[in-house]
Amino acid sequence: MTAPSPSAPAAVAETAARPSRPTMRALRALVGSRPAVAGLVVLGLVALVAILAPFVAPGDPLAMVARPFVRPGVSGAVPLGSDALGRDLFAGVVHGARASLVIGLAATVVGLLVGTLVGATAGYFGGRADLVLVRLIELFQTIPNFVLVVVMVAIVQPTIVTITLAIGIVSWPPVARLVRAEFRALGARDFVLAARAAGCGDLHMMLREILPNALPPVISTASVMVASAILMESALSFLGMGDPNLVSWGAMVGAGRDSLRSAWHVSAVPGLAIVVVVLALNFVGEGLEEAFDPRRTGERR
Amino acid sequence: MPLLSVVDLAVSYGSGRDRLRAVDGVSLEVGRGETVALVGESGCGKSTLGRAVLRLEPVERGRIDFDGTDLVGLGAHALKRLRPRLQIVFQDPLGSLNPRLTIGETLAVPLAVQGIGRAERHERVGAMLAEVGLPVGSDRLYPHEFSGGQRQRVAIARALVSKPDLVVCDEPVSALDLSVQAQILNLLVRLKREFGLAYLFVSHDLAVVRHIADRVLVMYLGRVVESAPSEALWSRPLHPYTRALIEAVPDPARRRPAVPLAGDLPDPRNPPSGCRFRSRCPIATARCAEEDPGVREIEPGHAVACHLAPTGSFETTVRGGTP
Amino acid sequence: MTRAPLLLVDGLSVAFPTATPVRDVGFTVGEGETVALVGESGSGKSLVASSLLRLLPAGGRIVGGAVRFEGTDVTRSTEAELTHLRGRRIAMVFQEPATALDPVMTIGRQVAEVIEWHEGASRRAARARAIELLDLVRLPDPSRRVDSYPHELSGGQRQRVMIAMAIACRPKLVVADEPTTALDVTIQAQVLELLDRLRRELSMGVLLISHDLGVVGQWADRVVVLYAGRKLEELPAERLFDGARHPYTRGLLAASPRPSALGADGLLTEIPGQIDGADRLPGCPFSPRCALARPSCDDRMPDLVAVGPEHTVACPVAPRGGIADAVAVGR
Repeated sequence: MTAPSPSAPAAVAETAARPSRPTMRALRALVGSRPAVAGLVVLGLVALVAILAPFVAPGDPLAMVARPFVRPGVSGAVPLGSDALGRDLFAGVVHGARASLVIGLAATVVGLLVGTLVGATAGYFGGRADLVLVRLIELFQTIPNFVLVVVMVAIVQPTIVTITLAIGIVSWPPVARLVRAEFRALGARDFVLAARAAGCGDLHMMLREILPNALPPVISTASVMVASAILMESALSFLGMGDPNLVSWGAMVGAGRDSLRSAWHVSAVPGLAIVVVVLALNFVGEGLEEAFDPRRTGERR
Repeated sequence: MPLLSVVDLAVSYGSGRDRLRAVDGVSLEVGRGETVALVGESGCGKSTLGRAVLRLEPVERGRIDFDGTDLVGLGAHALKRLRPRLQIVFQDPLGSLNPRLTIGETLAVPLAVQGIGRAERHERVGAMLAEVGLPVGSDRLYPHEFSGGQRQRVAIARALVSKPDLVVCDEPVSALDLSVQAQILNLLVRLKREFGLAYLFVSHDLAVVRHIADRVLVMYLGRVVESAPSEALWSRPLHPYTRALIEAVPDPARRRPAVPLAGDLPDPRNPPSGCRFRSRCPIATARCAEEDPGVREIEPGHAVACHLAPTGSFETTVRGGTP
Repeated sequence: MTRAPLLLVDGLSVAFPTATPVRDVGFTVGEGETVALVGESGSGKSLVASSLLRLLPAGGRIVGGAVRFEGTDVTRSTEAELTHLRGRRIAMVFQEPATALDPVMTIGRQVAEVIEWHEGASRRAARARAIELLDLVRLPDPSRRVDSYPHELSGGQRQRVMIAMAIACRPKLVVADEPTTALDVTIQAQVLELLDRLRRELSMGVLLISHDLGVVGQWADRVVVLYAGRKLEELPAERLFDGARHPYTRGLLAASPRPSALGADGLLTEIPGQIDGADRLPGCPFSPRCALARPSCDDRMPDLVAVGPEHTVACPVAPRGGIADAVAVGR
């Protein structure tokens, strides 16, 4: 009775050759982008150095180990030179990577969680919930981010946890806006209506039908968020409002501020580290955005 | 008792001056195993009505009795229990399938909602895919790996896997190429016979509707202007709009025909007074602007909303009768 | 026909880096004549249309054949010559008027700009011409509507504006690419009638690109059937429904939901399978779906053979007789 369409296996036959999971295809596209791969390699190396810091640069990075203001490439003991207190800049950069990466990643996770929760709720339910949450987002967006971070850290003790939370709290609104827009757009799509017609509950609709399709732009934003979190932490430390017990790139740049004319390298070395990492993160972000572009991964015509 | 009975249903969007009443007091019935078509041009409210029947649109007023239960007043839990029996197939097969789920996962969703176990789900999904003519192994693939026609087979399988009584088909073949259209229409007809389905078939294409429907409702600006058994509608269309629609179906026997209907659709937010079709109607009179013609049954099963329908030398103006 | 046709396309092939979606397509359009290119998606009909003005999408190239318009080969024209041709001698009307019009410019301005650009008319004269043209395409109340923005018009009215822009410089050929696909059926009839009236009044040639056999059968003089980039059949439009010979054309007709197409079981005659990949076959692209195919069909593309007045078919096994037989064969 049912006549199977004879040419139906067209798709079946083709599949063995290529990865079909949408996520896999996006990753493959990412690997094809040269800047993104370069960024990933740099980030991988920095992460490795951060993890292996006690072995790469043993000892306390805050200890005085050389004469002050040794220029880079002069002494084998301090290859990147030393600062005003004779601390090894190489050890500082290596250990500082830990603080920067940990705070950058953790603050981004906080921002993503809060932003996704708020954005998804507002975008999915709409109506009054949306109205209230959008006001909340706008409220946060009208306050200058960095000022808010400074105020929050000034009120509580500056520790790695409070700094992370403070940065996370100022970075969620853009995520919330993005997720809200995606949820609103996707919520009107037929496949979501079909799931509703099947009797799916709100949680299934949000988590399984909409969220996976809303995530790609969020993920590409995330790498840029890490970059801006690192910058924010650096600025905080530069102003001397960071965790005093923590070696951080921003604090190192700040420490070199007074001797900028006589020994510019004290600020330049950690400054360069910040630039390289932020640039790498932006490359990856751009690569992700391109890889998730529906015009690339979506439809064959 | 009919399977589905819609009484005086209204659906509107927005509020105040921008209020758009997409469906304005429509009543219809669909019997078990029957195919009822909603026909009209864009903005007539046919798709909105189709979705409202599944409670996918906010209902302003009216009743939707499905197998004796009024869906309009129904709570979320009771509605969820009825969902498997009411399903929908959309126009754009790609847009109606979640791109991040495999076909097998998509088809399992309606079954999982009903609490059916993994083993039985797998079995029923496989059987359903075979039923719609997809090869073994399709369940592991993603929507983008299929052609348009195959995707529509998947969407049909998803609608039927929960063993529904009524399927709303919202322009199911409009996005498909002609040669694939016939495959999908035939599949729908076969499945209907096999599973005793009833269809509420939404379409702009009168030729398709004539082929598949038992009864047809013609809609214009949110209202039903004529309803009749399919063949009666074609052989004896009573409403001037129905006649214009039939004439507009390209018929090769009439080369370079005259334009059947002048003018454009009026702003649906501000429809004409009286009969809504009067601004484009070739035979409108003064009365049409003042008085809203109610739907009247002219002969058993054949109703029309037109002051002028059964009177005068109406019949002679029907060009050609059956094309 | 002794005079050279207005447009002569001969052996046209279009290639992209990974595919050749148009292969060896030829046809003519005479003055004041409507010729239809009909086919499903993937048939290459729109690529043929954009080849005429060398407006192929990125990566596409004309790799063979000639496109002669009023005697000159467009495939060898310089960019300057093409600019002269586009809009002035050959005009295009697209499927989606909503995206083809500039949303922030009044429609009168958009029509007038075409006239100013091509004819060097003054602003005032161009505006007057624009109102005339909008009247010619039967836009209601043109002297007021000339200052409307595209979003204030309906889809059908926007398509009228597009047509006004297309005929602004009295082109000899209008290429209409699915001009009514986005429109409702009653509006479709209005727009097709308009195009046909303008064709007569301005004695233009019209190349109508469509997927709709009914539209083509009603409004064209001759019909060229394309499939997977190949021309399979060409015949007079009035013979389309009872004289088509190619199994694909007959299959399409039989698959159309018309009362005469129904089998005894109430089902339509299906063409099995789909078009995917057919443009890579060495032989007839339709052979994998063809009930009449012989092994030789897969080896090389059959030649187009004349089988009647203005009627050519590229199928050695093309049956004779009416569609009723085609239905019988298809089953």
